[in-house]
Amino acid sequence: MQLFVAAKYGGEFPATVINRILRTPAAKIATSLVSGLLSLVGKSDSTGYYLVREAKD
Amino acid sequence: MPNRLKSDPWFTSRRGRILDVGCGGGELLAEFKKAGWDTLGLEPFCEESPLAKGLGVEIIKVSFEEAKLAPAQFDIVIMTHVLEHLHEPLTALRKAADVLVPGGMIYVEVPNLDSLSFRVFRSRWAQVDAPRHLSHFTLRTMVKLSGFAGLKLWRKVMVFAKH
Repeated sequence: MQLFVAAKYGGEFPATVINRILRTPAAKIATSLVSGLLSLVGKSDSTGYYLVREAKD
Repeated sequence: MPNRLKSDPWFTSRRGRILDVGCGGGELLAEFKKAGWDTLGLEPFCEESPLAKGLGVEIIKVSFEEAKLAPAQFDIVIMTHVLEHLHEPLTALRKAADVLVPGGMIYVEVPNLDSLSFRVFRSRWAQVDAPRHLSHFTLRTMVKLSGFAGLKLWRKVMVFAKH
């Protein structure tokens, strides 16, 4: 399989091919939708925290 | 400027002094400067002075741990994807709290250990990234850590972008 991919895509690894697919408009829309859903339920990959100093007594 | 900060009324409604810890090339600071903020960046790995590049923001080539900063001088401290790289995240948060003016705020962004990706991929999750990432946080541990630093969680936001 890798030999086939290498021959067809000029020696690139399959991961590069997958990356190409992920860069297509349809894949971008799909990943944005998934990211949005994950954000809504608090499950996205990164979190931002706004921290304030507690008032001293 | 990331959209979440650019559109946030807390940022857009005021001006002051801002410190970006681990500011990279200073692009975010340049946006704040354009919006009228007084800016300073710390970046131990910066190659070239952004002043020389024309961004017009001051960046000191030093780590946050080693930086000599006077207390109570910044309205905002930004630490985007910094804490997870540090050996002593609590010490860093305490230092960030110390340089804040009363009523100031720290914006911390870190990988989310509560994320679906971590639940699925576990040790293969890209954000585990050992040994570059030394600590990871959930909402619960961040609340605890910030409490130890004399800070209180005001707001939490989910972040789209990957780092």
